[in-house]
Amino acid sequence: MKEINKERDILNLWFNNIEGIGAILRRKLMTKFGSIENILSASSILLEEIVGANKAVQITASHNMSYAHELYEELKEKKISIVYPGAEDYPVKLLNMFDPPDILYVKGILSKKLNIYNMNIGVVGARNASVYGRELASFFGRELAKEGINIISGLALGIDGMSHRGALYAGGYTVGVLGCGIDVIYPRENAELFFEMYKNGAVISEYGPGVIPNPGFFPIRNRIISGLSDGLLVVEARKKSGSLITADLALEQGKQVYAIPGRITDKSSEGTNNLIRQGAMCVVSPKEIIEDLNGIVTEEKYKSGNKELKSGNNKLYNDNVDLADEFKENIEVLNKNSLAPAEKMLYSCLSLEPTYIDDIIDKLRMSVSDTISLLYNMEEKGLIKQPLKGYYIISV
Amino acid sequence: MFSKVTGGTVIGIDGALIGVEADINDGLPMLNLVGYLSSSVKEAGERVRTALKNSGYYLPPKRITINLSPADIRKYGSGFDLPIAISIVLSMGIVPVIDLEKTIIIGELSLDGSIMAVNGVLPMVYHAFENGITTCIIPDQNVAEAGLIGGMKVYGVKSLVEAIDFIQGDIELLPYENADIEAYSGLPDYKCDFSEIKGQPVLKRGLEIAVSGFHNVLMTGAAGAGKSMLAKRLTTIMPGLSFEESVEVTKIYSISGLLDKKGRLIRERPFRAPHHTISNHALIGGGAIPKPGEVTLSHNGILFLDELPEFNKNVLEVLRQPLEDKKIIVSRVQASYVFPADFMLVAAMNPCPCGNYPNLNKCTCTPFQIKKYQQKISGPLLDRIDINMVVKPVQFEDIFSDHEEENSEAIRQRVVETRAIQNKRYIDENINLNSELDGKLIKKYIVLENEVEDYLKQSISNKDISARGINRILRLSRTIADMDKKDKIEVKHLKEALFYHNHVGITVR
Repeated sequence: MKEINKERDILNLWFNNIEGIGAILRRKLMTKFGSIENILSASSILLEEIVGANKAVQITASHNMSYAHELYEELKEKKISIVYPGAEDYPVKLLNMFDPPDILYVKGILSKKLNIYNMNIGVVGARNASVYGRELASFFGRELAKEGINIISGLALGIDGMSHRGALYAGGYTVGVLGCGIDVIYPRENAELFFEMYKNGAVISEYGPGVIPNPGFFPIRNRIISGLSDGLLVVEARKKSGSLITADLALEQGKQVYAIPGRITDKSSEGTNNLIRQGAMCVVSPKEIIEDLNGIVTEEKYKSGNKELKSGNNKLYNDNVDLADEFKENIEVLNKNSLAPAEKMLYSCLSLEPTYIDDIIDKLRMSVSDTISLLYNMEEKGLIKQPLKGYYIISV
Repeated sequence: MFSKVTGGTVIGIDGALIGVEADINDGLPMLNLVGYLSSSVKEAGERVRTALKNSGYYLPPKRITINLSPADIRKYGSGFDLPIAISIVLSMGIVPVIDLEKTIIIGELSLDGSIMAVNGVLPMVYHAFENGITTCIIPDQNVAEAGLIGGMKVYGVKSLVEAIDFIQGDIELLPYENADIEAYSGLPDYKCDFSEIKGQPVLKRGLEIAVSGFHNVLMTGAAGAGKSMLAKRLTTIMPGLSFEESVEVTKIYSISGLLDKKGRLIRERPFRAPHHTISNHALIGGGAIPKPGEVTLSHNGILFLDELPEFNKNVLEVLRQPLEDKKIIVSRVQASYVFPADFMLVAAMNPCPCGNYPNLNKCTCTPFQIKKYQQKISGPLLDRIDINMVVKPVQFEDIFSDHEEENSEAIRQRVVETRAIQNKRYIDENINLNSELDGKLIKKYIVLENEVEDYLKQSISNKDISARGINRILRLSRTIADMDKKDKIEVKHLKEALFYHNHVGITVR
């Protein structure tokens, strides 16, 4: 944390951590007094008018800011920074929200890239995702990131994690929004991903250190995901999914909602298919999202963006980048590398739907050990993947 | 007057000789039993008195003392009734004293004087034979079992009267001849066969590898995949028991009272499938008088644990020691009992509580539930399992396909060959099969060529495999190379070992 803004930081930490004062009361106080300094110097009678006697006492009791000082030191030690409305790094897009977060704890770098118009895509979807969903989340994350688009998601299991991984793999910038304390690694399984995000992206949260995950926090953080994003991609969602809540929030905030269709018989895609029926844009390729984002960029929005950054990224708007269709590319690779007939045959057996090894053996009519050897060869060449033990898919 | 005969008891899975002495003295009429007896033996007094009376021998109104020696072995069981009764009759002096020094007497008495079968006759008689005893008088129902010991004269008696008449030479009995010893050919008639299972080539191959090298197996898959069916047929692809192994297994079953009364040697490798509610002691052996548990009952065979995560966590943890040491030591104040436990662990489990993962259309579990379910099996236990397989439910077409499946005999033939290769290689070592290789022996016997070693290194760096896991993979690839009749492990073998070993990727991430 930079020492320059220490006083302001502490003031914000104090204001956002008064016991019994939640987001609503904070907003009331800010509307009345205009600034935190004013609140600090306000008389208890004035405070009482707004928050009631008990809470006013709590505000005045915490005037010494001992907790804020402690917290400041803790954050410094844990290399966590904070941003708040008015701070330099605060993502501008959040200010357009009805209820922007009053404070954000940040681990990693909150890049200015986030402020460019139409460069952020939120990716949401089921935690209990199918292999199809997970692979597509990673594919879209990767392909979008290659085009300089920032991936915003929630660092959860399943779709969220895969989209972050895809973006990191392509060397893109990605932000994870947590529904728990900034230093809490939840879910554990993603610990590795968290550490990579600290280095090459950012992890942000409205909640300070040590706050344990609470089911109620997640819908609240979803508003930040959609708030930061210019469009929201729903990769895979069941009928009653939290991702659909995020999609609703995005619509309320005036953001475009994209959905990847699934098979009508797959329960795991029921929610996304429903979204499409209701008018969400159906996307089958990352290219479509980029084209759509180009379409919705308005002159006015574009001008108001940071000029410097704009010039650095105009590739997206000017060059009509024709994204390689990965599926086609793979087929080309197949022909190019002049694969053995057995390898070609194996490849043609597979799709994004996981195929069990027995079924492959059945089709290839080869011995078990030869098939395993062949599968390993193909996996090493990067043509196929084993997403679940014994099940294989083509790699996209 | 003093008299002495020989009886027997069981310690662990081995027999022990017990001297039974009787003496009749003047004094208050009483029957007194001494010699570190358990209550089941103390009760023998009442049984013997009544049985003698009902057989026409009235106890004199004198002080009768029975001593069971050596006095430092705790005596259990009901097999002492007959030797006690006979020693009393002998000390009464009403039958001519004949030489019983080379005779062991075992049997339980009923109140009417008839003799009933007891457990553990085989180990007792076997031990007696090893200690120079040549004749045994045992319950008629146990003769077949004792007859398995060639060279022992086995006399079966039905009643106390018959036993006493035989001892004093009033009647002649023919020693029992067990035809089974000559008939021992090593292979039983199996009632089921591998060919009954359609499809599942990967699973079948994995099980063949497992059996060839005696590797432990875990099968994960939805219900109806044929996990249990295949497990039950595993004994049919294992080589038959050798005579020594067979005697060892039969001894264990004799102690546990699980032998059929026809007195056949057990030839089929044991297959034990305890229910998941089993207790620690039932699994590893125990009780006030330690009895073999399931791990010992599956000695030289298969211990099948179906629904592995449903087992009590403690129960699974106690499996670790026998899996490592191939035996189990049960300690009691009186003694430590060593039970052999060289079994192949075959475990099966569902991938998630509802059993349908990864079919998301059917699976109703949350990722957390799935994780929780899978975590019920501890790392150390998983570490002792060489082969992890995911099984997919059999497809409808497979069930009705007329594709000819390989039968057990053909597979067993290959297993026997592969095991012969291993036995030959380890002839100078204390081991027989690849799964028994420890770190030191792996260095000695598994030398990888550069290309193969490079491949292994690369795979490990990609796949997050522990040091212990590497040894598992090496052992497994050794077995796979042996199946291929190759001296050197090739990359192909290593790949297959990696495929079968890898546990990663069974759960969501």
